[in-house]
Amino acid sequence: MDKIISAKNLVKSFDNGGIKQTIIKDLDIDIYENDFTVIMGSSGAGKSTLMYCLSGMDLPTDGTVIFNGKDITKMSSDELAVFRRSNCGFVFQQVYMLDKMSLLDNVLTAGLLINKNKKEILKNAKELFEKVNLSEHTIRKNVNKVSGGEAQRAGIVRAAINSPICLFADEPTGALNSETGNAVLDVFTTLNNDGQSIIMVTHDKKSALRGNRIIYLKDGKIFGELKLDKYNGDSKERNDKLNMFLEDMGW
Amino acid sequence: MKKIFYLQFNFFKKNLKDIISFSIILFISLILFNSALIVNNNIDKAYNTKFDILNTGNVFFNIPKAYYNNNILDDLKHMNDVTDVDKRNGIIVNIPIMMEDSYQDQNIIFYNLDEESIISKYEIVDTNNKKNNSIYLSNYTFIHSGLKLGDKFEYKINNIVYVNNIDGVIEEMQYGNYSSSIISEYLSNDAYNNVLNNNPNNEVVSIFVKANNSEKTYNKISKYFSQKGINVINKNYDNNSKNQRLAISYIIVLILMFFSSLILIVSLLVSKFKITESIEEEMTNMGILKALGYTSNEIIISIIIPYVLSGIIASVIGIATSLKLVPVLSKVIEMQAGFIWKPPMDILSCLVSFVLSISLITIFTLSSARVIKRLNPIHAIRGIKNSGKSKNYFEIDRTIGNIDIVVMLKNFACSIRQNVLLGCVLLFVSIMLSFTITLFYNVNINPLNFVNTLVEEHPDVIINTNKDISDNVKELNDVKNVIYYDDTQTVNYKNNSYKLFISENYKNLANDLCYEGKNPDNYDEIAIGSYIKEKYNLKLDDFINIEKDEKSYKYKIVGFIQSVNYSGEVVELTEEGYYKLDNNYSPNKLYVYLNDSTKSNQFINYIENNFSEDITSTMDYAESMNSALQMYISIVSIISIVIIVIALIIVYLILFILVSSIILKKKVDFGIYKSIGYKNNQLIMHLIGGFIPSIIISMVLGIVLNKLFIKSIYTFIFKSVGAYKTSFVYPIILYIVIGFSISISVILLQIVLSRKIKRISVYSLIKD
Repeated sequence: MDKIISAKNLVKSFDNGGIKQTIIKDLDIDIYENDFTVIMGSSGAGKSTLMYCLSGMDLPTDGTVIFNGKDITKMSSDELAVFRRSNCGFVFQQVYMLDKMSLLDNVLTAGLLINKNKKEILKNAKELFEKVNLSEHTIRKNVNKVSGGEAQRAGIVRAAINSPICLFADEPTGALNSETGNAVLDVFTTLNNDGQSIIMVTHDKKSALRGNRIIYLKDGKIFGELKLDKYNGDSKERNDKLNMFLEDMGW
Repeated sequence: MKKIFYLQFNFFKKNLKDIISFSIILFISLILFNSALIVNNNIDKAYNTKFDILNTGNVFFNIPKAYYNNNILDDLKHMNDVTDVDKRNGIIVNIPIMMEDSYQDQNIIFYNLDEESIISKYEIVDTNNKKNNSIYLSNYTFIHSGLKLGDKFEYKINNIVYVNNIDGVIEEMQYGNYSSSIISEYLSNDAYNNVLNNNPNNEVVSIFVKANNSEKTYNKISKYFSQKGINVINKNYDNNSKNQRLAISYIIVLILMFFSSLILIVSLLVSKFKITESIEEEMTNMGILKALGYTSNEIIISIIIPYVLSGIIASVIGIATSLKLVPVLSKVIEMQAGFIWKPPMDILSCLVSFVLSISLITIFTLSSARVIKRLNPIHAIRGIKNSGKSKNYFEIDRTIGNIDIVVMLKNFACSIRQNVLLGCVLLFVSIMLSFTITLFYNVNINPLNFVNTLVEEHPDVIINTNKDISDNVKELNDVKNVIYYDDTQTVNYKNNSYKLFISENYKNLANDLCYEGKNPDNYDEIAIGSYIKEKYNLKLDDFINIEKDEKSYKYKIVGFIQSVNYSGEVVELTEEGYYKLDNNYSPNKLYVYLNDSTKSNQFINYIENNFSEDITSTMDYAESMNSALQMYISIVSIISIVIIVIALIIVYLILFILVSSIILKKKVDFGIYKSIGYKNNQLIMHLIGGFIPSIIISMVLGIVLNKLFIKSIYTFIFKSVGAYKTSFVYPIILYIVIGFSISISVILLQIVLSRKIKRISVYSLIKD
């Protein structure tokens, strides 16, 4: 499979009240096309930091990130913004939707950035909304008038509307109940099965089961990696493999 | 209560920059307002006090010494309402004296320093105690001459040069400045006699009268002199003289009141806006407090206290600063009024300013914070507004235009309150600037408009002739026009004496004083001043009987005229018309208008050399006017600069509050936009674009309102000093340029202020 992201000697440090705190320590990682990569690890292991560095959402302190053939660490803030339009989609733990807009407008706001054909984008958006089971009536509601699950699913549609090279999800089910969470995960699985590369940060085993590549971070480094088949429904074997891996990692 | 204090402190800390901005605006407003109030409440009192201390006559007349006899004082003393009379000898001349770095023709009355009178005394305000060949200048001349005590003061009367030492400065309250048409200067005995010996024909007797009803007495005495055939050289009475001397201070008060009110409204709008914004931001905290059992009133107090407290501090500092500004204003007023005014510590004015400002702030903030009473605790905790309004304006798929334009429209629809605030402020700023620039345009760029408003006829040169030389003068190069115009006569109407203007043809004059109807064209027509019109409730086409000595004639009123210097107590007749009252009248005051006013001096030299037999005196009116104008030009320049600076400060502070508040409020939104792929410049453009409608609306509205109402504001202000017809022009292009300049400045300022969006990373936006 083709590499879509390749990070070398990645370092990310923060200045914590005058004390330098290194979260990512000289880390190398490659992300492949069509993979559903799950990044796991204990709290403070650097999962989200790594994901945001890989996506260009945040710049590493050191190292390079080659994304779709381009070194994004050398890009300016605006160059990164333009790069993200067609290459990245983001789903956050919180329902980060644009306030005072309908779900549909949230999606169109992203879609119309690279495709000026309103009709075409509207058609794509409606197809994606259908995939995530959001009705025409619901998508015209304002963000504060829908449930957390509905908003999160709309968030996924917004992330996917420009068919990005990679879709990044940071604990996407963290703020949802079990049933709603499952529905959201199903959407990710469907998108991945349709060829969408996904990187998801989670500490939830159930979410991790959806991935075909599990990377475990510890103290800012890759501590272990597990390869699974593509998700085709929960199975005992898949479950055991993940449990064993996590047990080995000290989970 | 601890929680309330915590909330107050937290609220104060969070809104510190906005509260400081609000305080600065309020501070500016209070400086101007309290200054205006102090001047307004004290200048009259100060004038009257000095008037009383110097036992100034209520009515004063100057008559030639040759006409004077002791019976006159006796006759006047026995008139009704007259309580006392006194006299003093003087010498009246029209000479060029040093003013504003050049020589300016002035009517001067020299008095003998050693000859004291009981009524209309003078006060020496500065002296080196010498009285040898000395001149004690009036405060007005002293200020404008730029000379110091001990300097030489040079003047020429009938080709004889006099040089006196400036050994003192005096104040008196009947003459005293340019507007009062005569300025008094005091000479030491030797100097006075020297001038008198060379100019015995210029000797006059100044008669000072204390009376219970000054206007009535003025008219009675005018009539008395008229009946006795005594030619009065100059006359005036207390109220008129006061108005002439304090005209500029009244205008300053009105302008300051107008500006300070606009700025106060802006500060109140800011407090209202920020309280409303803060309630939305602090809604969860308020919900928690309500759930914990705190009453709405306790929460309301916690919200308004920081504003009221900072309002108190800003008001106190503003009022204290105004106490420093008032002495500066008093210097400006002194320059025009010609008397020293030391502003008192006016506790009452300060208290009124303070109470008014704090009451308004409390009312405004309370009215905004009252919404807390209707806040449902559960909804508040969840951040749900009571109104439940969350309309999705401008649905993207149903709105024409690219995504950036639609997002701008959405921003506009979601920030109506901010737009209203910005719109109101820009409108006020537009009015303030248009008002100031109009003044600047009409005083500094086209001073003729200002001159035409405040003075009467203003030729370039006045020639007093003893033979009709008008045709000869008209033939000279550089002469645009010549006309006989007389402003030395008086006539009576209903036993009251009024200044008379006589002209052979009013159409040829440079300044049309008529504000309604027309100037007289025929012998039986008359135009009357605003004062006479209002006093007798006269209308156009009414007939009035005008008297002069023993003669009278009925004239038809064809127009109403203004006169600031004579407070509207004037009438206009044609030469033909005046012959009906005085058939021996012969005009001898020739007004000359040149193609180039700056050549007036050369022209006078030519006239004096070539017509010496036919003229008695000349006056370089253009030079005098120009010198007098310099003072007004400087004052207006200072006012303009101050107002522009204030306007810029206000616009900057308001934009700072608005932009900061939006960036703070939409921080997460910006993060989301950035994560989607929007560039910094796009986000800045969206933010600015959200304000474009209010900028455009306020610009258009400002241009329209300024065109419609600036004239009315000026008319109101000038009317208060007796100018019913302002010759100011109000070019719409000026207001269009101001409107565009404000709009462009606002957009540029917004770009600068919203650049802070760039400094925040997407990651931190989302993580914060």
